[in-house]
Amino acid sequence: MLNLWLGGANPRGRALLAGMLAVLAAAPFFVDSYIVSVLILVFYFAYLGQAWNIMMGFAGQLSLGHALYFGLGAYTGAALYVKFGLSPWLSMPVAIVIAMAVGAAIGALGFRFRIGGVYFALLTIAFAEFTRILFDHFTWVGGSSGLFLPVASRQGNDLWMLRGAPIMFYYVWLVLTVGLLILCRALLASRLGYYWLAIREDEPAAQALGIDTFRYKMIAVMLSAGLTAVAGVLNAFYFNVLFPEPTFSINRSIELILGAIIGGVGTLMGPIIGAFILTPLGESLTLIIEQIPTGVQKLDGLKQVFYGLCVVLIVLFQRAGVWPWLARKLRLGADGGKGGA
Amino acid sequence: MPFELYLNQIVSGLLTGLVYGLSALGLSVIFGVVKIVNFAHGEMMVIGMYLALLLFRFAGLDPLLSIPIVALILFGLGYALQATVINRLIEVPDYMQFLLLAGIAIIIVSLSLIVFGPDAQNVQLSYAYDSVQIGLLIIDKARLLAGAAAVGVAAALFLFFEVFQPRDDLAVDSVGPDQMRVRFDVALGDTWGLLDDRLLLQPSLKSMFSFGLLILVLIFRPQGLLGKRT
Amino acid sequence: MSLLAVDALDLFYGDAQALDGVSLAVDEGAVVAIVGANGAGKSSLIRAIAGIEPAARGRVAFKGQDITGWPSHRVCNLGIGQVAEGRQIFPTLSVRENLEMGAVISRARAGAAATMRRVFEIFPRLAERQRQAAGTLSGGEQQMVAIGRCLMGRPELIMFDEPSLGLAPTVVQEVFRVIRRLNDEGITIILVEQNVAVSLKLADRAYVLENGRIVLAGTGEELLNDDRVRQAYLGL
Ligand SMILES: Nc1ncnc2c1ncn2[C@@H]1O[C@H](COP(=O)(O)OP(=O)(O)OP(=O)(O)O)[C@@H](O)[C@H]1O
Ligand SMILES: [Mg+2]
Repeated sequence: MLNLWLGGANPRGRALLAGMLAVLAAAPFFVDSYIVSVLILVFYFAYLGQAWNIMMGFAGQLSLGHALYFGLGAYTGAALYVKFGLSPWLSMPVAIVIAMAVGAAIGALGFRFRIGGVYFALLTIAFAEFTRILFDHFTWVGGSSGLFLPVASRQGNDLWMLRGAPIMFYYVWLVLTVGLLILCRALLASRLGYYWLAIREDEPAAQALGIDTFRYKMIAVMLSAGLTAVAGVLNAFYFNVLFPEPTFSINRSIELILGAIIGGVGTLMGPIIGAFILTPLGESLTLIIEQIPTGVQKLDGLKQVFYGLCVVLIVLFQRAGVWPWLARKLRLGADGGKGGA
Repeated sequence: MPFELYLNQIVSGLLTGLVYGLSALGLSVIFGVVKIVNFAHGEMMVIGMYLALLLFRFAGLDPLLSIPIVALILFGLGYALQATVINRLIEVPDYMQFLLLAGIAIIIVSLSLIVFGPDAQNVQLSYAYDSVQIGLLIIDKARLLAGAAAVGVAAALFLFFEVFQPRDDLAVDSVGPDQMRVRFDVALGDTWGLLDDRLLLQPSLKSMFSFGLLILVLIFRPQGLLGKRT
Repeated sequence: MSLLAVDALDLFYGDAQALDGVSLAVDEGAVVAIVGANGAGKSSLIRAIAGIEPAARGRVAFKGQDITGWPSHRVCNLGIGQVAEGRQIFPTLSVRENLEMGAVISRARAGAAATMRRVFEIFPRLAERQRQAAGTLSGGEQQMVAIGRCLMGRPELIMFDEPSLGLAPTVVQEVFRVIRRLNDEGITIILVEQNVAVSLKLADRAYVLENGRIVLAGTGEELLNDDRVRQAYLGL
């Protein structure tokens, strides 16, 4: 069982993964810019789903307020750049520290006061919404009228300042997503992953065995928060514009966990597979709606409906996610099985 | 600032509070019986509001008079939701239920945004600007009526539980044998929310305080502000 | 000096008091039984000693060291283990993985392999089913996993919370045999049981808990012959 959970290990699966990686690394040279932008979206879902998975899938703590960490990262990166011209690579550590501190505060409150399960999820939502409204009134970073990153037209790509073409972002996202996959694999194989497994399976039992459940849950929250903030910084530099409402809203919180839910909560490959399923579907939907003359301004709303439907259908019909099922079908051995309980 | 002004503010706040209280009552009926936190409760309430709006626009029906109709429709909707979706969730982990209802909530909100647009809509009642004076108090007539209706429905709910005497263990132990009744309660809970005839909530510091309060309640009194500590 | 000394312990859940001035002493190598009706506070007492529920007042000392207010993982690492009410195994983990989880505390990590052999020797059944998911075992086998997993932490004191709950009579006998054996091998036992007659027979010392208070204490035999105990708990 543990083996399954750690998974992805059989030769077939490994070969497939390596092949996929090679294709992705070469892709920008063969496909048009539209496909590149879609793949960036895939990485966005895969990375964020993976980051959230650390908290929910590994340690069993449901957060529905991850937009908070994402938004804190985005605003930290953007504000430090706009106000002080700081490179995103320098603001990233700041963003990580801020998100980890906020995550630690929420975690400490929730775990110390034993706010369990659904109530903990409510707490995370409440903090995210609270912050959203706070940023609506936080005029230093633009308040509700938004924060804009200057887009000077320049030659070539400036990786240090993350100014440039989508192709540059493509590779940054790719590296981060692969890096996070490796990190998560290492985490699961470590002692920490072992403790998380116990906590997720039966927390009182884990505590009775002498596992410091508070500590390991805190580590999960803080890791997850910090990693989510990194994606926030990157996203801010990619889109160059930030508004509190879409950045911190519950819709964002749901959106950024979709990859993991569709692919399989608690599995390593789940968020990645989920992202590859979700994004093309969402994009085709967009293309279809664009054909309808009046549809354009309603596009965003319809996408939300689609995301909502995805959640409902997965919970009803494929609770463990697509990946465990797919892994069985393709006989990858892999981290399917009951890993995504 | 004169004292009456404060008093009027407080009374009008209380009246609005009654309507929200009614909605919360519905939520807690659902939770008490099926042990499900209906994340989509507020969204069901939004449907109720829009239904009242439509009935007013196209049939000229006063929202107070459309209550039975809207209640019936939402009852049906709640029943359908329970029968098709929530019933399947009984042995599902908590967080999955929560996710599912969050998904439903997002579908409802996004659909209503698509259909009705983002702007606040109003019911242009003939008595929209009327008010009732009692001593120093000057109260919006619409608000007063909504508050009274909320109290009325709440009273009816308590009466319902008095008369039908639901088995004690049902309220405590959830689900189990009596699926029909459970289903009925979800539907019932969903209908309570629809009475507010004006969509006046806009994101503001006011709702930030609400979330702040929610955080404090979750931390210090998870059983609710008035609940008994267990 | 006793191995474990509990002194005037108070425990609250919100406003409700679950333990009220509970004091008891557990000598090294003894079997101490705690009996009481449902809701008397037996599990709460175990959880308070284990550091899972924080006590409002009172002291807990182990080997003379004050451990009041210590978090559960530190208490556990001192050698105070527990087999909790309702078994609490990790259902999707295999039997072997369940046992390994029992040895995560630092006092037990080094000798885990040897301890596992000992557990398999005590419960040959578990050795046969090492690879099976624990959730698919029978109730009795699950209880063996729970006990074995606790042993993996190399405890000096084990607190059993209703180990015979919901088990068939033959299995219950087996569980009590194991408890007896562990005690013979030098492990001190606190035993909470509904099965009052058996546990009092096994016990060197016993306490009766009522509404969070200790109302009666004595040797197992004294309590077995006590009229109040016979009436209230043995139905005689
Ligand atoms: N987590 C909790 N929150 C609130 N009250 C609790 C909690 N756990 C126990 N209680 C209450 O504390 C009292 C003592 O409970 P406890 O579980 O210790 O009893 P017990 O003697 O083990 O009963 P049983 O024989 O049924 O296991 C009971 O009134 C119970 O309702
Ligand atoms: Mg008990």
